[in-house]
Amino acid sequence: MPETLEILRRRLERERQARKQAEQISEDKSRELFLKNQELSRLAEAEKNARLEVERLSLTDPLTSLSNRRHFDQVAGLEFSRAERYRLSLAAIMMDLDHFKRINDGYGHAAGDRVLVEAAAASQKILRVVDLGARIGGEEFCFLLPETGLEGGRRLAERLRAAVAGLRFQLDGEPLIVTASFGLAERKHESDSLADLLARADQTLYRAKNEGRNRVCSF
Amino acid sequence: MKGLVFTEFMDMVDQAFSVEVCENLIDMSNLPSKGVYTSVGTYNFSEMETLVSNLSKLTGTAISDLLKSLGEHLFGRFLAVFPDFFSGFGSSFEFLPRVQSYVHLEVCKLYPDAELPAFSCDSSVPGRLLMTYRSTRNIPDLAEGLIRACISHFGESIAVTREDIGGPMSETRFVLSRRN
Repeated sequence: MPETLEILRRRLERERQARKQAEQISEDKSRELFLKNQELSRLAEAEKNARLEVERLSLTDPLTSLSNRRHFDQVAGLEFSRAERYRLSLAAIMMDLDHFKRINDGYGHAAGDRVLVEAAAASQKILRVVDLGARIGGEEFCFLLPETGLEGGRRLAERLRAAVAGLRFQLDGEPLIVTASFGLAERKHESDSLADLLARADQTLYRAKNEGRNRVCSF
Repeated sequence: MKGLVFTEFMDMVDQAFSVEVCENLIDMSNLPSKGVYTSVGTYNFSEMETLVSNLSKLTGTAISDLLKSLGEHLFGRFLAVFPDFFSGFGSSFEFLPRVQSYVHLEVCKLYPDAELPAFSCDSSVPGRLLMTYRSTRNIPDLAEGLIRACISHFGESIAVTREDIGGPMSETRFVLSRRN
């Protein structure tokens, strides 16, 4: 019997020590897991930010930071459907910088880019939160104005025109004034489409060009 | 070597021999760990070599037989502790080829420091499975015990022959042939 007790005592002691070992290993593993989790959270956050940045870049014009054509098409499609569904007004303004080719040819592409950036920034300041501004071509921009008719659109286009014409540039030491022409159209209430609306705004823009530039024409 | 093998070895000694034999074994083995093992720990393989060698001396049982018994005992424990590894398999010819590609892969996820043997399988001849075992630890007897327990678990009649090839990675070829 004393021998059996001795064996039990030894086993109990080994079990105690083994338990301590296991607890230590478990604590070490928990710490390791905690650190790994922290690292995973950091990586997930970085991945999310990178994804959002990629998403933003895929929808943004890299030069002016306005929306690009892809984003414009997405949002304009939704806005047009919404306007149709709730019978709301919707106006579109096409803007084209006047004689832009002369700036590019005369002062270089860097100067041309600067003009584009500043014209875009000036326009962005005029737009309301709900409006969408996009660069849809070289020096061509489009603005979509939800719940806005011809009258409101004209006021906004005039402000845009004045803002661009008010910019002052010094290119190669020479002062330069840049102007832009604007074509405005609004959604018709029957059998209209987004493409037709934009085509009408574009058509009107050419009228503004033909009538002497630096002006707003509406359809 | 993973602590689970040590704790199971001790249990096997208790069951197959006696608690007294187990205590004597620990006393005579002069182990750095003093015979304190936890299944989640990792211990030097030389302790297992000492334990098996001394158990053979104590009991007069051949080392190879002890290792085969340990393999059989371990299979039963693996079955109880990791049942998910075995579910979905209907025969040893289905299960054994997955030891390398599935079981060891999962074990490595749990224990990145585990040093596992490598098994390659060839089942190109119907009714026959060729398993090649490679390990730096060179304990094919343990592998044989595991294989035999696996066959028994699936209730199959399969003959196992074995050829020790040796070499730097101590290769052993097991040939499993279904009996008609």
